[in-house]
Amino acid sequence: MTAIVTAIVELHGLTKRFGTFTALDGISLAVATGEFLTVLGASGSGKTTTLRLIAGFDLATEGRILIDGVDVVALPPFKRPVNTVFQQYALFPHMSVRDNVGYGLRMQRVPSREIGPRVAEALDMVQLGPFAHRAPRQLSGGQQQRVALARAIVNRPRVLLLDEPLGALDLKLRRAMQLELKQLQTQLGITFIYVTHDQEEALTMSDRVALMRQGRIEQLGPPRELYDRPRSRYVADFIGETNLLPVTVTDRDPAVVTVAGPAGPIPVHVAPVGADAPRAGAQVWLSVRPESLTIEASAAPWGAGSPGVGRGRLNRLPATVRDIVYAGSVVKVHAALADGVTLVALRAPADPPVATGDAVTIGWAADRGVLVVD
Amino acid sequence: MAVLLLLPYALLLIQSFWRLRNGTLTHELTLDNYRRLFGTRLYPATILYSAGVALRVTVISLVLAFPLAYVLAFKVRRHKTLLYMAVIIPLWVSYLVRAYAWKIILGQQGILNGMLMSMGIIRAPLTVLLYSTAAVVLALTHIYTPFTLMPIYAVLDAIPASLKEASQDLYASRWRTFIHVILPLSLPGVVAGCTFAFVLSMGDFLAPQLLGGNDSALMVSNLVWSLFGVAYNWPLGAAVSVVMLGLTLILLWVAGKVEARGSYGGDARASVVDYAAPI
Amino acid sequence: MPHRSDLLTTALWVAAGAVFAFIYAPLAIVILYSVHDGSIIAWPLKLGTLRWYGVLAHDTSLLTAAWASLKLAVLAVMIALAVGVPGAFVLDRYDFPGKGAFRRLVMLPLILPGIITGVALLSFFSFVGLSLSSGFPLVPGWPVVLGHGAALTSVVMTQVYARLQRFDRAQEEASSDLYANEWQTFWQVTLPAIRPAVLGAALLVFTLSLDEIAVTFFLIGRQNTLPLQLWGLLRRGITPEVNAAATVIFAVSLLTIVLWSRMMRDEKVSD
Repeated sequence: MTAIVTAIVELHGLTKRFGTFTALDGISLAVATGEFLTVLGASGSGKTTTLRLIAGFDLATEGRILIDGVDVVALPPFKRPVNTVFQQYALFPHMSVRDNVGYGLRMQRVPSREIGPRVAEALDMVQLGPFAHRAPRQLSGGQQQRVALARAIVNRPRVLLLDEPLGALDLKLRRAMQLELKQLQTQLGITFIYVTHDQEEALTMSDRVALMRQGRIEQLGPPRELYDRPRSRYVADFIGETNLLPVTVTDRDPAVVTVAGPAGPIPVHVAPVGADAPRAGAQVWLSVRPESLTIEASAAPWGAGSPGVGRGRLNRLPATVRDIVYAGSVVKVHAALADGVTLVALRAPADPPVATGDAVTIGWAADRGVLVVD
Repeated sequence: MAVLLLLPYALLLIQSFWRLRNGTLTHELTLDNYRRLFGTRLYPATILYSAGVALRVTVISLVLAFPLAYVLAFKVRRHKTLLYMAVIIPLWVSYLVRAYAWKIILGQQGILNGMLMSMGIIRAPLTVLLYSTAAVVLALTHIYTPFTLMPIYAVLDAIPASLKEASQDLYASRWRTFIHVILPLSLPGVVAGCTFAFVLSMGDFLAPQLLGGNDSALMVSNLVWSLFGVAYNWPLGAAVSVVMLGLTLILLWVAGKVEARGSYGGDARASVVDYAAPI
Repeated sequence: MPHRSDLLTTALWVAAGAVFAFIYAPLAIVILYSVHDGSIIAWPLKLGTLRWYGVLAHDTSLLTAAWASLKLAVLAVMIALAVGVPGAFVLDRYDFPGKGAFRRLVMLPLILPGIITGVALLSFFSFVGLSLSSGFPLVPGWPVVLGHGAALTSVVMTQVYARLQRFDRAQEEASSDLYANEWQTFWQVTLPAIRPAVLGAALLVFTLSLDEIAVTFFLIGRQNTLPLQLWGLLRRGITPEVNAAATVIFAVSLLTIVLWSRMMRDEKVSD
C-alpha cells in the first residue's frame, strides 16, 4: 500500500469497536491524490464508520489515519483538512443558503471581502446562484444536495468525504447528479472518498472501489476489475447480477472444473486462474454474468469444449427454459440445468424466440467464467 | 365544555365593570374598578413587584435549566428518557410539598440555620432567610425550573447530531458550534420555557403567602386572593385578574411571535402554548 | 462526539448534577424529616421513627380530606375523558372556523395562572347560582368537580389529539375495506390505537387533580381536599406529621407517574 507515493489519505490498521461489536476490523488503505475512491458495502459493513473516523466524528479504537502524511487521529473534526457532504445534507435550518455555504470560511476567519466572492463562485458552480437568499427548507431535495456540496467545496478541502450524498434523491435525479459530481471532481481535482451502498453508482463514478464486508475490505480495485474478476462469491454477488454454479476443481492449468450432471460430472473450462486459486478437488463457485450466457434454441449434445470459439473455448450445457421475463431492452431467460440450478441469461428481444419448457443449450466463453471462493 | 371555559373568562371581564354598592354586587357598568386599580399606588406597584420577582425566577430558572437540558439531550447516553422523567416528575408531584420544603430549610429553626450553627459558622440563627423576597424567588425557581427545562430539552433533543458534526467539519470549535448552531436552534424552546416560568411564577400566590410572610412581599395574585376571599370586592378582584390575564395573553402572543421567527419548520408546535401539553 | 474527557464537559456534568440535586434535595429533606424523632423539625435530623405515620393514620380530618380528594380526582377524570376524547376527535377530523382559537382556548387553563381560572369559575358558578356545597356529601361540591373537569379537559384533549395526528387513517380505510362498519372500525382499530394515550391522560388528570390548589381553593364548599387541609396545617406550623402526609402524597403521585410513563412507552412501542 505504501507503494503509492502520492497518497493523500492513508489508513493503517484502522479499528473501531462499539462495546463488543467490531464495526471496523483493522483496515488499511491508501487513497491517491485526486482519486475518486468509492467505499461500497451493505449496511453495517463499516463503510460509514470509515468515513466518520476520517472526518473525526468518531474516535478510532486502534490504528492510524494520515492525511497528507500527518497523523490526524488526535485532531478534532474542525482541525482536519477534510470536509463532509452529509447523508441528509445537515444544512443549518436557521441560515440562508449563502450563510450555510459561507459558514466554513467564517469559522476559519477568512477575511469577509474574500468570503462573498468565494461563496458566489461555489454557488455558481452548483448552479444555485439565484437561490442564495433562500432558506434551506424552501429548496427541493436536489437543490439542498447541491448546497451541501457547495458548502463543502467552498473550503477547497484536500479531501472531500461524501456519505451517501445521493441516497435521498429519486432515480432520475440521482443519475444526473452522478455525472455532475464526477465532472466536478475532475474539474476541481479534489480527492473524493465516496460512501454508498449502490453498486451501480460505485461502478459509474469511481476510479477505484473498496467493497467492504463485516468491517473489512473484501476487494479493492478499479470497477471493471471488481466486476470481471471478483475475488469472492460475495463480491461477484454484490457487484452486478451473476449466476453462481457449485463446481469442483479438477485441473488448475488449463483450468477445468466439473459441474454435476445427471450422468456424472461435466467438465467446464474457466478463465485462467492465479497462483492463489483453489486446489484440485476444492468445492468452489463458478460465476458467469447473465450477459455472458447465450441460449441456443436447440438441444446440444452434452459436454464441454468446442475449441476455437471466441477467445478461448465455449462451454455448452443442456438446460430447460423455466421462465421468460420481458424487461424492455432485454429479455431475461431463466433456464434450469439438469441438477436443478437455475441460470439467468440476457437476450435481445430480436433473438430467436424460445418458450417455457423448451430444451435449450446454454453456452459461454470459457474466459467469462470466474472461479470464486465463499 | 368550551363554553364552561369561555363563559367564566368572559364573565370575569364583564364583572370587572360592575359596581359594588354597600357590599352587594350590582350589574351597573362602571369604570371605577379600573380607576381605583390604576389610581392607587398599591396595585401598579404590586404588579411591578410581581413582574420583578417573576423576571428573577425566569432568569435563574433559565440559567439552571439550560445546562441540565443540554447534558440530558447531548451527553447522557443511557437511560436518557428515565433521567428526563426524573427531572420533570416533581412538576406533577405535590406543589405544596415543594413550596413548604423551603420553609423547613430556611426557617429560623430550619435546617440551614441548624447546620450553620452546628458547624460554628454562625452563632445565632439568621432571621433574614425566610420571609423575604429572596426566599420567594428561591422557592419559585425550584418549582418552575423543571417547567423551563421541558421545552428547552424538547428542542435540543430534536437537533440532529449531524448538524453539530457539520459545524465541526466546517472548522467551528465546540464553543463556536454552540454559539452559531445550538443556541439559535434552541431559541424557540428557550422562549417557551421562559414564558412558562414568568407567567406561572407571576401568578403564584401560595409560595409568597408561605414564604414571603409580610405584606411587602405579596404578589398580585395575593391581592386577587384577598379581594375575592377576604374583602369580597369581586369587581375590583376581577379587574386585577383581567389586567393579569391581559398581560399574560400579551406575553404569550409576543412569545409566540418570537418563537415563530425562530423556528425553522422542523417543529410542528404552532405556538408557545403547545409546549404546555404535558411532556 | 469524541474528544470528550475534558474540563468543559466535566464542568457541564457538574452543573447538571448540581441542578438535579437542587430539584430533589428539598423533596429528600421532607421525606427524611417524616421519620424524624422529635416533634419540632430542627437540625440535627434524628432518624428512626414511624410514629408520625401513625399519627397520620388517625387524623380523621386529613383522612376525610383525602377521601374527598380521591372522589374529586375520579370525577374530574371522568368529565375530562367524556369531553376531551370526543373533543380530540373533532379537532382531528373536522375543520371549523376558529379551530385554532378553540385549541388555544382549551389550552389556556394549563398555561394561565391557576388563580385566574379559579376566580373566573367562582364568578361563573356564583352568577348561575350553583352553590359551592351543592352535591355534598355525595361529591365534594359540583362546582369544584366541574371546575377540575373543565380545567383538565385540555390534558386529555391534547394527548389524544397528538395520538390521533400520528394515527394512520389508512388503517381505518383498511378496516372498512374489510367489511367492518363504522362502529366496528372504531372499537377494533381506532380505539386500540389511542387507548394508551387515553389511559395515560386519565392518570395525568388524576394526579394533577389530586395536587390542584388554586382552582380548588375558590370552588371548594364545606369539605376541604387533601392539599387544602395540608395548607391549613402548614399555616399553623410545620409538624413531622405534615411531612409524613407529604411523603405519602409524593409516593402516590410517583406511582401514578411511573404508571403513566410506562403507558406512554408502550404507546411508542405500538406505533
